[in-house]
Amino acid sequence: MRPFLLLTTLALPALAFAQGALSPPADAFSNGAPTPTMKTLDQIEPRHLIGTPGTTRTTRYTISTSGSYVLAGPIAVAAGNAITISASNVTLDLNGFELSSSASPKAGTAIAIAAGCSSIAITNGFITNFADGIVSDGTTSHSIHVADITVTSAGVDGIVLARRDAAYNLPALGTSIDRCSAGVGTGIGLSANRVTLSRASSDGPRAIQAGTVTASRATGATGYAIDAHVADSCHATSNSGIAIGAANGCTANNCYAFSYFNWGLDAFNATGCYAGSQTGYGARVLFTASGCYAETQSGLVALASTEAVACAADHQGTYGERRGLHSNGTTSFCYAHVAGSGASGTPVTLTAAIAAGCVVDGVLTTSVPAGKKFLGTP
Amino acid sequence: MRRSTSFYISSMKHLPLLALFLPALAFAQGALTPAAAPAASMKRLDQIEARCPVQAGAPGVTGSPTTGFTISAAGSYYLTGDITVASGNAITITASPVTLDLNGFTLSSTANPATGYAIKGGLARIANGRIQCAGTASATGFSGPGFAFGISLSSGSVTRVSVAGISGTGIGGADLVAHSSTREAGTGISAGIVAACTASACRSTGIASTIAVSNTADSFGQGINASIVADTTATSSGGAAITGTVVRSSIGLADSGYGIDAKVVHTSTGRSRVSSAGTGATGLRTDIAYNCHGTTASPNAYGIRANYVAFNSTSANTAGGLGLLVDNGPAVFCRATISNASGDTAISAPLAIGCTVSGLPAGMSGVDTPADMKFLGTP
Repeated sequence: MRPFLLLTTLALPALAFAQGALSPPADAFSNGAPTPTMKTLDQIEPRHLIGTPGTTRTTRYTISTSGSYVLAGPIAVAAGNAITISASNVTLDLNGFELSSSASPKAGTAIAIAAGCSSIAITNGFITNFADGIVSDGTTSHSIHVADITVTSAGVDGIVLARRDAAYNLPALGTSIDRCSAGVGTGIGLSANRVTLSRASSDGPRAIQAGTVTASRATGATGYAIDAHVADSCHATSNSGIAIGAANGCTANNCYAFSYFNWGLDAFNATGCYAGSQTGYGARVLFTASGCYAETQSGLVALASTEAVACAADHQGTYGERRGLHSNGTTSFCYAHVAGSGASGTPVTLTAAIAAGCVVDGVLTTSVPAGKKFLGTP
Repeated sequence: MRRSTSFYISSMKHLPLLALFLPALAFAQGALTPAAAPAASMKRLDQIEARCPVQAGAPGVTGSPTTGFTISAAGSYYLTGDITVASGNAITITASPVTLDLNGFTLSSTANPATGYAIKGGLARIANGRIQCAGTASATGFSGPGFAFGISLSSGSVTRVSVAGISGTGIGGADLVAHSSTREAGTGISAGIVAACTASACRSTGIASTIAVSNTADSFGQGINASIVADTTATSSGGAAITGTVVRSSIGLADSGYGIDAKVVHTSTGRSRVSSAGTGATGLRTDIAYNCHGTTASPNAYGIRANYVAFNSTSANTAGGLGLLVDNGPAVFCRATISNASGDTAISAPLAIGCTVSGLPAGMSGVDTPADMKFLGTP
């Protein structure tokens, strides 16, 4: 056996691929002794395996040591959390598998990160039917990054890596969510310091809550569909909540925001946004609005802003008290429209302390002090 | 050594005997004394690759590389080779959720006319591979072999997949499509969010989505149709290059129809290259144009036509005719250029502030705004 094998192995590579020298490479020996030039299976997959290949585990796991972990198969628990991470410096690859719970009513967290545990990355899998998807304490655990995770049918929260304090600030935890999706019940869909290319829907207070949210979609929520300090190229719709805003200041760029029964946009600053509402303000911009379009069917104001440049405000209601563009500072180069003849209610199309280069349409009533109208403003 | 080697064999599932012996002896590696008890240092091969191969006989998988596979159990799968079918689907996924790593391999169909799906599924995440068929798209249809649909999901994501030769939609139904491409298709990509993608040589629409960022699209029909567009280049020959609600930092070039058609456009260029008559040939059609440039080659269209505001923008009509039109609001700090002009209107707006025109015969203002509504040097 042995001589035959030796012959085969020596001959095969040379003949099959017509390559290489017959003598071993220089690094095959060290001081005359063979050195390891092959790989063990541990070298091919050095990460820690969770679960059993080919099997759905019902075990609840705890990761209590730093390291890199990979799921071997789906985990379906009857109660509680599927995976609890109680160490820092953990990477967890769900390997495309699903964590699910059969608890009824929905309970547990698919992946719970214990308070104070930081530097954690979680990727690549599905989560369904837990109360919560992936949750850290959101106030002390920092540097948590979640990517490519889909959470469906969460009872409360989807992926929550940062929570607002009493002053509505998100703590600076350096957490991120990329390319994730969450559909949740009574809680928050996605929450992190940065959220990109993600989607969330919620029946609770927030669909997406973030420091910066980019190129993401949010629907539903009773408070804000998107609650973020910066929202860029985002699309948000809500029934009863504000589509895009933040309790302590939001900058919105290139966003679409629409709410049926609340404000479309509630921002400090807005550039290049569309904002609309059925019964609320189209947009309330506390400070500056540039190049925005805002409309409402029957809300009080189409666009309210301290400073507005190159904006259009369109109020389509034909009765009741209604305002087109309402500014308490300077409105320049804007278009404002209020529908209806003006006989019903007290419509005012343009309100401003100073108005320059503005055009009004529909109802022609304006409220700008005499001597403060410039550049053709009526 | 022999004992150790045979232990490996007993725990391995698929590799042929010879292959196992070969490397061990060929490279003459390692200490002869085991480092520890064999059980502690070993892994089964499925512990190395816990995901399921898309091969006949694997759990949840039926089919073959020539007739296509069906995945009927939720889980995580990877391809082990190319799949080429003569008809029907290459991969049919009947369970959710499924993660499928195409592992760099290629799915194709030789069906002519094109039929079936490359991948049909529910909630799934698909990544890392190619769908490549020989058929080609044109303005009027699709010819040659291929699939009728590329990847069709109910939700989930598609990343790093390249698709070509699809008579219908290249990639459709996903929440997110990223870092992917479609070429030679009916519709290129149709999804919730499309980011960092290219769609080219599409018959009807390049990219249709809610959000489209950092893409390029070219199409025999429409380029990009999305609510939000940013950082995008689109060209089209049978419709608008970019249709949206808000558009920023983008360029739309159309051979027929609008370069850009949206409610709010910032820092973008819309260009229509139609030379025939028609209002559809306006370069940039919008409610608000802010920091924009629009250009047209049609004497009956506009470089920019804004319903409400044009601000700090430039507009050009290379065929003469009409430059910048603001239907209802101010034109502010804008410049309009027309050529071959014989008394045509460079700027038409109810209020014009700080605007300039060029290309007009001497002595003509080119601005049809009433005299008392021209300000800051507007001619």
